[in-house]
Amino acid sequence: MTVLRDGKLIGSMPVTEKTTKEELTCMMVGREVLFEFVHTDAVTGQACLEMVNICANNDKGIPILQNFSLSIKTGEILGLAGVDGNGQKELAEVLTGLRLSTGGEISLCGKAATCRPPLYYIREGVAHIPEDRHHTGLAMGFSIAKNLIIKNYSQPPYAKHKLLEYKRIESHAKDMVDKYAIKSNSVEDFIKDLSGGNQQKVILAREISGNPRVLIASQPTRGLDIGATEYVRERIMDTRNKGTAVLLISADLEEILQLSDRIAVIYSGKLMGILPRGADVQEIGMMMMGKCQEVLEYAQ
Amino acid sequence: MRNKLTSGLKAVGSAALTIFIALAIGAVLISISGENPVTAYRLMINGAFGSAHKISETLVKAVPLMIMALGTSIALKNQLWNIGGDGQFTLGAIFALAVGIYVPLPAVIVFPLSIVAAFIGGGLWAGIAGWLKTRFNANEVITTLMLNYVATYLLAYLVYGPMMDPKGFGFPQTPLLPESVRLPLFSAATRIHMGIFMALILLVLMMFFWRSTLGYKIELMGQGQQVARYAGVNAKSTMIIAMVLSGGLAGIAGWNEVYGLHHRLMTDIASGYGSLAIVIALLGNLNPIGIAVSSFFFSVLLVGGNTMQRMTEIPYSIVDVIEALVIIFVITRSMMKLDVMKNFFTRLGIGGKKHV
Repeated sequence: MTVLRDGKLIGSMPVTEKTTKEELTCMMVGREVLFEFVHTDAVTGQACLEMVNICANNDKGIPILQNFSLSIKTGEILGLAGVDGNGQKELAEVLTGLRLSTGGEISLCGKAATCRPPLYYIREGVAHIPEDRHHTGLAMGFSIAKNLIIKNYSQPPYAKHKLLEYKRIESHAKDMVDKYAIKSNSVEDFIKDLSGGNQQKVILAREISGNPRVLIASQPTRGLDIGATEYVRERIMDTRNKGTAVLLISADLEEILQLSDRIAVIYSGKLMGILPRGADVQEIGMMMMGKCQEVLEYAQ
Repeated sequence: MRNKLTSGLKAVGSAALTIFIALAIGAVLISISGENPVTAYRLMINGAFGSAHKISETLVKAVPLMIMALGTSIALKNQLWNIGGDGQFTLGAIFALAVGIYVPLPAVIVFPLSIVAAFIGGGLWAGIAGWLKTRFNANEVITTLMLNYVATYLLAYLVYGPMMDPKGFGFPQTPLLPESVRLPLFSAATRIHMGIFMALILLVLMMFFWRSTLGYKIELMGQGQQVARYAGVNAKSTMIIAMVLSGGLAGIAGWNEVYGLHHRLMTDIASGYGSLAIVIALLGNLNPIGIAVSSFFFSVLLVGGNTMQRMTEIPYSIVDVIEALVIIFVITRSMMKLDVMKNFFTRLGIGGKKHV
């Protein structure tokens, strides 16, 4: 038996009767610390994003999310761990209106917000860092400046009398490029010519600069180099410290452990359980493989 | 943002380069057929600009081409291939003429009304394809193309049937428009009419359109439906709007031909402008200024080509060849820009980064 992780060979061992699930789990989830990270205690408020019994189908029309419930408070990061393809993508899409749920309810700060169009969630302050930045998060043929306004191009100050205000858009872009250290020659550079890290910074700048109420961050550091990864994680932490409710969806367990205040685990579209910060990696790993908590202890 | 001006210049520049290469290859073909390419092109230029009448003919052709290409560019920016320019043109012409001959109101009302009617006619025709696309995911290439045939037969039915000129000795044509609503001519000696102002107005409007929030939304759709939906754009309604605007402009091109040139409907009114408009829009990089220049070039090619054929042994089909070459270059342009050209220059050792 051989284990591959992130395209690297982690190890091989013969399958015997002595092989334990724990050993395998350990190899599959692994844990490497890339850099030290300051994690302050969360100052949480009321429940901000609540999901009750969410059900949804995947692209093929097969049910994938089953009665998924979570509640995230303002000022906390809830990390959703799980092996890729267990319904995380669909959950993020349901929460941002990109996919219609087939059951269950969503509420934002107590206000019902189930099955609304994407624009509704944008206007209600739900920011979204999508997992597919090339097709969903960015318009690759647009400039940096134009990408920074794709969600609010029709609103002042970027548009007046239905016409775009290029000067405002450009100065906004210059601010963002400085503030988020986006490396580029000019704000007119095409997004497709930027590196992955700088592309992600453009998304980050657009999504978190407006102080969102909720941030759905899907695989926010996938494919990024260490420097960019650290930067993105710090910024997500800042956002949480400013009182945003953050749902961090990541297949990278190290990321989950580093950032999360609580850790939920998804497997096969179902919630396996919720653990507090500092929970045992082994325990999380077992849940990622389908071990279900009997009692939900940290649901709030 | 400086990008409007630069993109205009870029569009013109790359169009000029494409045209130059196409003409150069055309020149080779002309020499192979035993004629002098310099003479041939001189005759072509002379045929397009040689006299007031010839210049007028060139402009008469450029105007509808440009209006239609501006329309096509809206759909193309949304990544919708509106192949049905001819059908939308025809419907615009039918609606406009119907208003002109059947609405018994003063010309001050009928004239603007006819423009609106033409826009509605063309917009409706393209809108059907747009609706079919959003409702049933029907490919717009097929539907717009098929609607061309429907439009052709509808026109034939009308000019042979209910709209036939009662005093026309049975010719398949409608009655003439009253003189009061026709687009005035600049002079009695040439055919160029005030429709050219319509083209210029639309050109300016299109430049503003791409600065508008709707224009931005359509451009964003062209970047992919996923990112557009993510940004909160209603993909379906935007697609239909893009199609309606695109067809509406083709309808106005139809209006321009009927009110400025023919003053009536015949069976062959569209004369294949639809497919040319796509090439022109692409050649102009979907940029209004680029489109204006490209449509003028094509008009020179078409009008001048006629003269060239009359004065030399070169057949008119050389014009078709040049047109086809332009199409090939336009389609491969994006590829040329990226790999082929870069590799070519790298191999020659003239700059460009080496690919690893």
